[in-house]
Amino acid sequence: MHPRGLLGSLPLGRRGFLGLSAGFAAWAGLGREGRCAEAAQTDPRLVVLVLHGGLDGLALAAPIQDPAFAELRGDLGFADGLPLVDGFVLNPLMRQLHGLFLAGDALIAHAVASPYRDRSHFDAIDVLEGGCPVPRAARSGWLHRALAVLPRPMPAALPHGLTAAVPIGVVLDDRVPPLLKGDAVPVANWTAGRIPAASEAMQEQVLTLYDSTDPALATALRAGQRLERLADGLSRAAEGVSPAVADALAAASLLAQPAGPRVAVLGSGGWDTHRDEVPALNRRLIELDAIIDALRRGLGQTWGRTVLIVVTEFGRAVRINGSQGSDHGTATVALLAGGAVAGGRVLADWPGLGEGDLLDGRDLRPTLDLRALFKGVLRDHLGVSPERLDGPIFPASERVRPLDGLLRAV
Amino acid sequence: MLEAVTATRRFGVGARPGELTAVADDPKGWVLAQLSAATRGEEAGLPGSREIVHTLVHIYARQPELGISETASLMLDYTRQVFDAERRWRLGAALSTSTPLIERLVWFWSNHFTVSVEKSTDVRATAGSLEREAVRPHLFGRFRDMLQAVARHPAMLNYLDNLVSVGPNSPYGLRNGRGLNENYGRELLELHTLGVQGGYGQQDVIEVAKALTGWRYVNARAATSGAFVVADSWHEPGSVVVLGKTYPQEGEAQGAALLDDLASHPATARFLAWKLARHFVADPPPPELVQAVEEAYRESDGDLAVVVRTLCTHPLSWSLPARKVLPPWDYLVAVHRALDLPAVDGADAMLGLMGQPTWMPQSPAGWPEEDEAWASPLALLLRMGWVEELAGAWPDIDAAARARDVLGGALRAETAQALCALDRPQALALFLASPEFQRR
Repeated sequence: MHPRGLLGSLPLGRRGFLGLSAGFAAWAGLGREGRCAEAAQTDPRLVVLVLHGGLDGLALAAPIQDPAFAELRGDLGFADGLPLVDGFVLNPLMRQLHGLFLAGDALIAHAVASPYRDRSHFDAIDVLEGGCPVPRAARSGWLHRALAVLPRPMPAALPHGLTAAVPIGVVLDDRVPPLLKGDAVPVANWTAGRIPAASEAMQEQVLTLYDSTDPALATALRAGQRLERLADGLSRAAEGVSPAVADALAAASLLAQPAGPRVAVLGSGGWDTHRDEVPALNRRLIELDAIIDALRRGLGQTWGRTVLIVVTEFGRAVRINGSQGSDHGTATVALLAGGAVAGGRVLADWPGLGEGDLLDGRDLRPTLDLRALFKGVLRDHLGVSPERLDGPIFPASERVRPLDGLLRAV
Repeated sequence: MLEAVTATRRFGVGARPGELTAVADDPKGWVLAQLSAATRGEEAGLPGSREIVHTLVHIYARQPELGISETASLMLDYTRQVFDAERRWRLGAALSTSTPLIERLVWFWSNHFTVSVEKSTDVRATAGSLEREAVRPHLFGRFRDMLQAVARHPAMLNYLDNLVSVGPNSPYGLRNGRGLNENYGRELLELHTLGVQGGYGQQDVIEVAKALTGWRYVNARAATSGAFVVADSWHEPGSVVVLGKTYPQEGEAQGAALLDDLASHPATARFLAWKLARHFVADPPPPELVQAVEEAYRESDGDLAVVVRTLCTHPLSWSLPARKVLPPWDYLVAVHRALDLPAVDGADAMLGLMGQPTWMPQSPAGWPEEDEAWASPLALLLRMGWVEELAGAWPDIDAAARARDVLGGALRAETAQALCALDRPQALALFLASPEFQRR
């Protein structure tokens, strides 16, 4: 049995098979790699890369055998895609990702969306990263809440007593994104730029003052200091590459250290392609491919224990708009990559692009809730206990079951 | 004395030496007096947006003679010159101002109407002029006039793509198969006026986009002028219906009427009041304060002098503790003023490292408002390193005295004690890194 791809879905008819149970059922009988991992990965690493602005999923992985595709997409379609499976092709610029796909280290999930159904960037990001079903309800990020309930003790490789002293989440950005917002576990941010370092004495003075007058600043400063020690020398190592790739290399180096953080979040901007989409998107895709490759190279052996999740806040309207771009839409693509991923597959309960298939007559209709994907990774990769997933981490999501079989059996 | 600190920090850009004493007699009066001061902008001596675009057009027109790469490099050079001059003037204005509330309001509205210079050459060249031409003149006028001015400014027309939005049934649209671009229509409702909870839907977004089709400035490629135009041949013919109201007007009048109505909408009053109170006073803002500002907006039909006066005279605005962390730009300005320095070398690079390069926010929502965004571990390290370096260059400043001078009664006993125990450069750096200097 195979996850229903494009071809499989057409004769079966989609209507009676919508929703989360579909993804669950489709995966239940998988053999070999697809089994539900019996035990979580030992000393796992997780990287989440958030593409800001709304990735046009149809431009990344195209359903070229859907009869409506070529007609609807016009100039935004592409004929020379790299072959995937089930009637999908990958954008020809994504060579590294394609290599990972062929090696079984990358999985493409299509027609995915968070529970958000309107078209505001900011509310969409809030739902995607906050993890609540409606915008502006979350006070912290779902990944932060997941880190707070990770099974203890921390990995055996971590020297005893150091656990609390090491940031377990790291953000490669100048700001901490909603995904890692919260104060339950240490989180620090870092970017690959030259940081004018304050002297040890100065740091001591400031910390003493913060400890006595402003605990919030003290906590943040401590997390930064710890990460700065781990990141010693990383800026130099990343010279000569773009800032985003430099950050990816830095994240990889940090995660690869036994005493380093275990989870990293990266951001990539510029996906809001309202105008002249092809050249704008091509630049972004080339960089995305380079980021994925930098993570793989930088993680070295640790890649085998890593899951990279690539997500965006929403997709784009299927039809091109009046200025060779695309406006805000709904469903899109998410990627999983890493040596821990049971890849080489397109996970799609394909909704179709026919006139009656589109959401609101304009968008790719979501058939897989991203939370099912996140839950599957949290449970089977990080070992988060299933009862935590529905309440504390993704509130009011009991009906969204974790996807089984996303990871290779350990 | 605490009120003087509130005046110079919550409603100002940080005190220069002596300033606190100067305002101490009547801090509220000092704030309110600024409502009738000149909002500047014209004194910048910088070219206007029309001239800037015009210059770019002229360079572009020389392409046959100069070739593509020479033309492109001339355009980039000119753009960079204008951009650098704008940033320099903006920082200079902040450092020298004696009406800091005006600068704070400029930054607030400029961020409300965010553009990013990373969008294009035209935005890079005109982002500064958006502040000077569309924001400053209307600081104490009607919000609707600011909204109308921004909607016609090349920086906004380009940044949110209205420039390329075509009425599908307009002559140009029919001839070339072109159509709408929803980008500006959506953000106009969500970010500039009603707010995301303002009660509009997808169809309203489309109708707003239709009403504004043809609103553009002729850009470099079209090789004529740089003025705002409404291109009739691009404008979608017929009425539009937004939030249940029909707009039958033709041409520019349709969009203009719509913008006026959006500015007067109660959801806009609520959204702007919340945003102002959150930015200036506390996050989350106290509902009582939001309500007072909202009522002031509604009752005055968006008279920003009345709105700002209400915000700046509300008792809560003077009694709530200083908890908001200064964003990098505000911090940079406050440090300069506390040390009474002209703009230091590397200020722009420092802003970039600290995550707030001028006119380069990552999204049309502008810079984040949350403390967490600015008090991140990396940001604190950066600030500490930067002020230590800076303090080393000014060894003669008596930190303890300077801290009392610009922080007055807000200086905590712990900090004052620590300052006395250190040698001068270290003490100065500690003062600038102290919680009471980082928060307002």
